[in-house]
Amino acid sequence: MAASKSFFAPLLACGLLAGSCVQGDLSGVRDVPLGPNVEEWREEIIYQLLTDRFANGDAQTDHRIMPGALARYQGGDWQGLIDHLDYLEELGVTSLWISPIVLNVDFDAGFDAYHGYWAVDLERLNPHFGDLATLRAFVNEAHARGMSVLLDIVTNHLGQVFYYDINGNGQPDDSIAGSGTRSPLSRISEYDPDYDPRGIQGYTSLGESGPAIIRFFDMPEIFRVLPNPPVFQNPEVYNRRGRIVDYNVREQVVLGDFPGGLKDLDTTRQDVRDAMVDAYVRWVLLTDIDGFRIDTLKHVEYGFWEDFAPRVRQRLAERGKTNFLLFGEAFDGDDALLGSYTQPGRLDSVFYFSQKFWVFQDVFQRGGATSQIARLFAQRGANYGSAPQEGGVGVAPRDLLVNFMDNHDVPRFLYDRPDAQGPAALRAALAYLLTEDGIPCIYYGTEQEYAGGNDPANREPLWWSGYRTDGETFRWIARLTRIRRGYRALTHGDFQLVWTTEHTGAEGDAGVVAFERQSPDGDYATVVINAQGAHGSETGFEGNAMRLERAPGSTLVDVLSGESFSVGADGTLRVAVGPYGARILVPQDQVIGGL
Amino acid sequence: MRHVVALVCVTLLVPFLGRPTASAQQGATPDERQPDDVSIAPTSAPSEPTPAGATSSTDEQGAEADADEPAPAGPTGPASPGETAAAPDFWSGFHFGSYGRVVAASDLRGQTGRQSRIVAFGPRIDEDDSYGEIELRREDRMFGMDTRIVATIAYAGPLFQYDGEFSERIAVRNLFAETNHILVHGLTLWGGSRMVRGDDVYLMNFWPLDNLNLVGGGARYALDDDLELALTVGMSQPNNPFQRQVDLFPARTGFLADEVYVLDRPRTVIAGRATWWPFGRMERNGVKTVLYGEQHLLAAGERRRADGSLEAVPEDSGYVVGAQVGGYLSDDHAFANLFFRYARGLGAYDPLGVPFRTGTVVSTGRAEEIRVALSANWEWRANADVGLGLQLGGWWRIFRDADPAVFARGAISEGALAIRPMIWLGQFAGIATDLSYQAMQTAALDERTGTPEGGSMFKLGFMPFVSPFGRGTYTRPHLRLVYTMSYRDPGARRLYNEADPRSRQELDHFLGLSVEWWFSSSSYSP
Repeated sequence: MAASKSFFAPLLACGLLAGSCVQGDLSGVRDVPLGPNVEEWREEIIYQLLTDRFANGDAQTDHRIMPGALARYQGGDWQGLIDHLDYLEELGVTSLWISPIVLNVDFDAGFDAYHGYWAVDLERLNPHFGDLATLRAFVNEAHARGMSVLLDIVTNHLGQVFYYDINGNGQPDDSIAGSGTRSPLSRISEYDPDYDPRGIQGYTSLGESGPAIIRFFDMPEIFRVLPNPPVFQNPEVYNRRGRIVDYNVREQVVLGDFPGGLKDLDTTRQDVRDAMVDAYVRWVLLTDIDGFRIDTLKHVEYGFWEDFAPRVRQRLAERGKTNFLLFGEAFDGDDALLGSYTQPGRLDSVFYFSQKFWVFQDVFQRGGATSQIARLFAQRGANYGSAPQEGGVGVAPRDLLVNFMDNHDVPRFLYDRPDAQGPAALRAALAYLLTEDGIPCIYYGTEQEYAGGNDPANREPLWWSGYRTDGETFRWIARLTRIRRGYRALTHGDFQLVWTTEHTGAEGDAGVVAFERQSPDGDYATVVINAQGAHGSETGFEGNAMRLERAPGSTLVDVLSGESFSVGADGTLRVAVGPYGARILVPQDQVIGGL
Repeated sequence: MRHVVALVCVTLLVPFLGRPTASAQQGATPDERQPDDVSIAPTSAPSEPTPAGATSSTDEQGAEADADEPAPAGPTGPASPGETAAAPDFWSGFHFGSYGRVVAASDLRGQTGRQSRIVAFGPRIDEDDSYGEIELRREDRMFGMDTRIVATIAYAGPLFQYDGEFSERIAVRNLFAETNHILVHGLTLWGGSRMVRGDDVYLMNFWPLDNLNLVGGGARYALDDDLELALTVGMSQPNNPFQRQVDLFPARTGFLADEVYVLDRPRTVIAGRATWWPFGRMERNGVKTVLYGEQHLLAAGERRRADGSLEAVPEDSGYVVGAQVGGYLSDDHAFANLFFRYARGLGAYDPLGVPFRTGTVVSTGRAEEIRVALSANWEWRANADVGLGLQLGGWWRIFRDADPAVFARGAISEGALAIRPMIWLGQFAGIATDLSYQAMQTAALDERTGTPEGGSMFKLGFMPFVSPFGRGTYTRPHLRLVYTMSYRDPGARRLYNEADPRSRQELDHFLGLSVEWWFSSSSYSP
């Protein structure tokens, strides 16, 4: 071959030169400049989007889409994200949480894996969203605009890659059953049988026959094949106990399959843990993304997180990628449970689900008493990690909770507020979201006042909105994000509630919540929000008034309205705020013009 | 005037001598390519399992004819291309012609020998697809006009003796009538369904300038001894949602459903070709130049979405411009052709090809392709015992799909180069060596490595053969023993599916027996 190589060397050079004609397109994405792209995560404003639903920028990825059928692919892709970064910039968000990128079982029981939570190959990309070059280009372009990118990952389970051959007939049966006459009538799906603590058992007409045989699918046309990395091709790495049926039973939650036949991995195994670390670190190294949003935390034992999180941080730090955010989702209102995942050695943060239920749902959506906010906040110190994770992002988890009012797993805020005041209530909630401590997270479509109900109705294509930027809620969010980014008190300041109330009726302070944000450097803000829309309220009731950590006589300016207020001689301040209104008060000498 | 008459006679006769070349690959759609085809870019080229078959203009005797024509049979020295100009008599009656190749090969690992190819038109020495054409033809000379009616049936393997299936794929590759000297001396008219092709790059089985498969008609007029003009107008409508959608609707009356053409827009192609022989077409040594162009047109239409609503599909168009320049030395059995072609919009897709994602791409406006190619041959007949020959073929193209994606496998740069020296041992046997290089790159990154996607391959082959009709690069039939070894670089290996053993093999072997023939097969000049 040596002779032929020398003979063809000039031709090879010509070939490469010719090749550069198309590979010139890759000039901006050939290399991955790994490094921290975020200095301080409290300054970030997360925008959650489903790639399939945000924007369709690449017709080549429009395979098998079914427009309007929201349980099917709609055509969104990473090129669409690139094309609409201006829109996101105008909205003011700074961190883009994209749905999972890896190859999924493409189709199952009439539904598509547009959401990305049915992984089958952790080392391949989902071609519905584009290719590696496009993903890199998206990340690079986001970074160039000062935005970070968060990747959604799943470690608890894979997609429905096998079935339990309960009756041993070598085929997946939707329903196997007794006759209901002389034998017990039961209907069991071999795809997704109910939890059995012994493991799913085989069963014949003569009775049980031992552990059901695990049979992997071989349907390459929909990527329903042996999973990858190869360790996942071993049935032993799955818990094989069937579907969770009782979420109050911790054993089921941790060891059971996720509903829909998503096969639960035995994450206590070191080979599984290693595979997860390797697979997801690899994507960071290939793309320079800035953090993981981790799915289904509570379905995985703590030991996994104590192994996974430090190793991910270490592996990335070795390559210069520091300040990498690890935060996760435990879909639960139990504040102590949420906080448990932020204890030392675990994650930097979690979604503040308890706040979603206690505050955004009970108070802002349903008009409950704002005193509930205080009751929840009172648990913060005890439940959440009080020190930054070693090698983590440098902020204690309790100061870095990811706040949200809705997401892709729950009905949108406006779904439960179809009344005329719904958008106003939404904007009041947004005022709270974008001024409290932690990291605000806005679900895509909120800015367009989408009002979808449960999944998949809450996953509307954003292009239905025409990407309008002149809507009242869009403008409101854009203004609040400018203010949040402008006033350091709103990102770095401590959070101290100064007024909440049990009143929800005609009382003068009904619906009012007020809090101070103050940083060690002297940055200061007081936020006052009226969470009810029946009437205006104020930060006082009868003889009591809101007391601030400000000098008597000092002047505070509402940066939303421009009005000024003087702190009373006793350090109190009564501020009136209209129905679903909000005020952001900052010291006169800290006012920033133009926001 | 006598020259013109002679020219026309030759024009009529050459086709019936048959042509070499051609192979089926060029037109293959991505799905239809042979298993070894790992090329991931759309070839703007054809999409149909094109038949092999004749190539260069039937009416040309110059370099093209040299390149493609089966030399006149005869054990004692097939004529050179130039020699084929000696016009055989035209005679009325039924005729039979054929092109074919049959291959049986092993990879020396116990598996079937497969062609090693990572580009659209790979060096063909190890082509592995069996293919045959049977041509039936009626020819008549009446009223001073020569008329022929041609039907060419093509069969693509695998063959019955290989898999035991009565299932060869069959296509009608030609079905047309043509008459010469109609109305005006020198004027040829034809109508029907046919392949319309110019000169090829034999070593790659590739027609770089013009290769149309159309239903329509055309005219050809020889103005003098040195100039010919040709016009072809035809239509094509591959069965895809870019051009055709047939839906069922409740029957207008009664039960069941009616079929309705919701989208029904064939592509119209108008192709023009001017060929000029500056020193005269009949000269033994000369130069041939070609200017070529195509206009492609698609009407606007509408197609039906899944929800029943209608979506407008705009009109579309495109064009091709190209040129060829070549020279030939009949005494040295030598020729060289250089091709250039630029295509834009619809013209970047073969009439039987469509944009990749026809469900969503509604306009081909952005698509473009640039091609350059080279084909050459030289033969030296030292004495009765020894002769030498040298063939050269190469091409390069850059193609961008209509889809606006920035990074994609729809943007590809690829090419191949092959050189085939051969030595004749006596009149009826020889041995050829085939050395080739092919490479491709796309505007995509490999997901496994994060590096740009693309690769290259070297191939070295040896091909002893016997040629019962005597010497000549383009003399057929050939009965061959073929051995090749192909070296793939890591990028080329990654172009294969990971489950394919070739994704792990640096070196591939191919050992096969093959036969290739052609005789009395029509050519398909415009």
